[in-house]
Amino acid sequence: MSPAPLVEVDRLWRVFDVSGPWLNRVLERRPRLFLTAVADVSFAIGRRETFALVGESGSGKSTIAKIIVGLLPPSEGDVRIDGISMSSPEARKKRADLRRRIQMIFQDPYASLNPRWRVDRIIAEPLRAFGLMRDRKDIEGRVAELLELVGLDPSDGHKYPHEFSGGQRQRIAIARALAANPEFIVCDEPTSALDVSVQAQILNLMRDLQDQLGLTYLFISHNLAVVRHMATRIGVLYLGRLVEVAPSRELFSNPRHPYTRMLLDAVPDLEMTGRVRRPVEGEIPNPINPPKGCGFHPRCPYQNERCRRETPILSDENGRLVACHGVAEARI
Amino acid sequence: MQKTYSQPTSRREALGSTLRRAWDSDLAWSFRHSPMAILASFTTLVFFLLALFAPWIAPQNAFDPGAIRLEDGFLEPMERSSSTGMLYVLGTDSQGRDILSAILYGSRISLLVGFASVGFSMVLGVTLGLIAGFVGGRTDALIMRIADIQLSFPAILIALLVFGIGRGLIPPSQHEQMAIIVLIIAIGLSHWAQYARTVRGSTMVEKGKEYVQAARVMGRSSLAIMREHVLPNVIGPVLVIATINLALAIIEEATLSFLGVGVPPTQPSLGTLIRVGQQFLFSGEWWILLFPSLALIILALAVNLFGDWLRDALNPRLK
Repeated sequence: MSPAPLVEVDRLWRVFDVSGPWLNRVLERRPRLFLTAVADVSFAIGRRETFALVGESGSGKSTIAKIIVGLLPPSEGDVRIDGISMSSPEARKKRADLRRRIQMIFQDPYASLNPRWRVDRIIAEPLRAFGLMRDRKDIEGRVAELLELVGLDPSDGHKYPHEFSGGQRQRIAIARALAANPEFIVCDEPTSALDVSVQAQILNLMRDLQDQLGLTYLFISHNLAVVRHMATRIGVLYLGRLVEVAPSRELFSNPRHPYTRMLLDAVPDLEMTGRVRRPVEGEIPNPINPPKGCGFHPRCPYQNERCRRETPILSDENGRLVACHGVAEARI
Repeated sequence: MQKTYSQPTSRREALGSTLRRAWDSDLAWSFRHSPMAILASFTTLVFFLLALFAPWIAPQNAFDPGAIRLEDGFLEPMERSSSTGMLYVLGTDSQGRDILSAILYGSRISLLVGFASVGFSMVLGVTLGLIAGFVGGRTDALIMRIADIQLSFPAILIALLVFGIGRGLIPPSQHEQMAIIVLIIAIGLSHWAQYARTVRGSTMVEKGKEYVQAARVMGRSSLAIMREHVLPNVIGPVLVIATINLALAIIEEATLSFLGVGVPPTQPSLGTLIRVGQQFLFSGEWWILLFPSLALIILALAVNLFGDWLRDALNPRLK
C-alpha cells in the first residue's frame, strides 16, 4: 500500500431515526426509535487497490457506500478523499472536483439507467454535469469511445436501455461511471442482479478497466466468491461494525473472527476436499435493538461473560485487525 | 448486421426510426384495432378543425351583432331568410342568430377554455406533485393537505368560488375581456389536485430508483433531476388524466355558462347557447336548445371515450 491512501474513512457513524410520525408516537405512547446502521467504522483504501466490504443484508455496507459518495451525510465521523474532507464546509470548492473523481456503480442495472433516455445521453450525463465538454461532436466522440471501452458497439448509443440485457446494461452503467475520468469507483453489489454466466464477464471487465485506467475500487458484496475474485483487501461487517480487516488471501486462508469463520465454512466447496460444510447459524439481530457487548455474541460459540458486557474494538492482534475478545485473549 | 451512422443523416434517421417505432408500438396497434378510439379521435379532430376554422366555415359571424338580422328570429331549421335568402340549416334563435354558426363559434370558446384550463391545471398539479413527492416532509404534507381540502369540495363549487373572487378583483370595465381568462383559471384551479396526487405517487417511486441516485452522485441539482429524470417517467398517467379531464372541463365550462357566470352572452359558448335555448323549449322553439346540446354531448362523449381508450391501452391490467 502506498503511504498516502486515496480514501480514508474515519470513525464513521450513521444513525437513522425510524420513529413513527409524531402524532402516532404521542397517541400510542411509543418511544423514539433509532437504528444504528454504521457504528465506528474506520478503514483506508490505497490507490489502485480494491477494498471489499462483505456482510449479510442489514450489516450497513450500502449505507457506508452512500456516505462515501455523498448520497447520505454521516451522523459522526468523516470521509476524506485524497486528504480532503467530504463533510467540512471549508472544502466546498474542492468538493465539486471530488465528486467528479468519485463515481458509483449500482446494484440493479434495470433501475440505474433512466428508461426514457437514450444510452448516449445517459453516458454523456457526467460530461455535461461536470461541464467537462460542451461541443456536441466532442461528446459524441467520447461516448463512442466509452461504449467501445466497455465492449459495446458505438452505434448502441442511439438505443434505449430496455433494448439491452442485464449484463449489457451494467456495461452501460460502467461506461457512465467512467465518463468523467474518475479515480475512485464505489461498486454496490454490481453483479448481484445479474445471471451467474454474466457476472464473471462484468467482473473481468471491471478488473481490466482497473489495470488500464488505474482505478481504485470500493467493492461491496455479500458474495464471497465474487469478493475473492476481485478484492485485494477485505473488511467484514457485522451489525454496522467492522469485525475483521485483512488482505484477501489471508482472510480466506486463515480467518480469525468467529463470524468470518462461520461465513467461510458456509461457502460451497468446489474442489470437493471433503471439508464439512456448515450452514450459517442464526440471523443478524435487529439493529434497532442490538445485543449488548459484542454484536455477534448471541451467535458465537466462543462467547463468554466479557463478550456479553463489553463491545470489542478493532485492534491489531498479531498483525491482524480483528474485533474479538476471544482472539485478543488468545482463546480462539 | 452492420450499421453505420454517418453524422449528417443520423438525425433524420433517428426521426425515421422514431416514427417507425411509434407506428409499431403497442399503443398504435391498440389504436388501429379499436374502432371506438378511431371514431372518438376522428370526431374530436373534426370538432377541433371546425372550431379552429369557424370564421371561414360558418355562414355568419355569430359574435358580430352587425351580422345578425333581428327579423330572422325564430326561424325553423332549413328555413331561408326572408330578406337575404340565406339558408339557416339549424334554424335561428330569438335574435335571428344562425344556430349552426353559433355552435361553431361556441365550440371554439368551449374547446379554448377546455384546453387552456386543462393545460393550466396540468402544469400546476404536475409541478406541485413533483415538488411534494421529491422534497417530501413538511412541504409534501402542506401541499397534499391543501389538495385533500380541495378534493373534499365539488369541483364546480371551487370554480364558482374562484370565478367570484376573480370578478371581485378585476375592475368591472374589464369583466368582458377578462371573463375567459378568469374562467380558465377557475376551472384549472378546481382540477389540479388530481394531477398532484398522481404525480406525487409516481415521483416517490421514481425518486427511490438508482438512476436518480446516480444523478445525485454526479452532483446534479434537485431541480435538474426533477425536470430531466423524474418528469419524463411520471408524465404518462398525467396525459390520460388530462384527456379525461378535457371532457370534464368542457362540461364544467358549459355548466358555469349555463348558470350564467361564465363567458359573456356576446361571446356565447355551448353552455351559454344551452342556457338561452332552454328558455324557449316550452314555447315550441326546440331547435335552439337541441342542437347546441347535441354538439356538447357529442364533443364531451368523443373526448371521454378517447380518454377511456387511452387509459386502457396504457394500462393493460385494466382490461
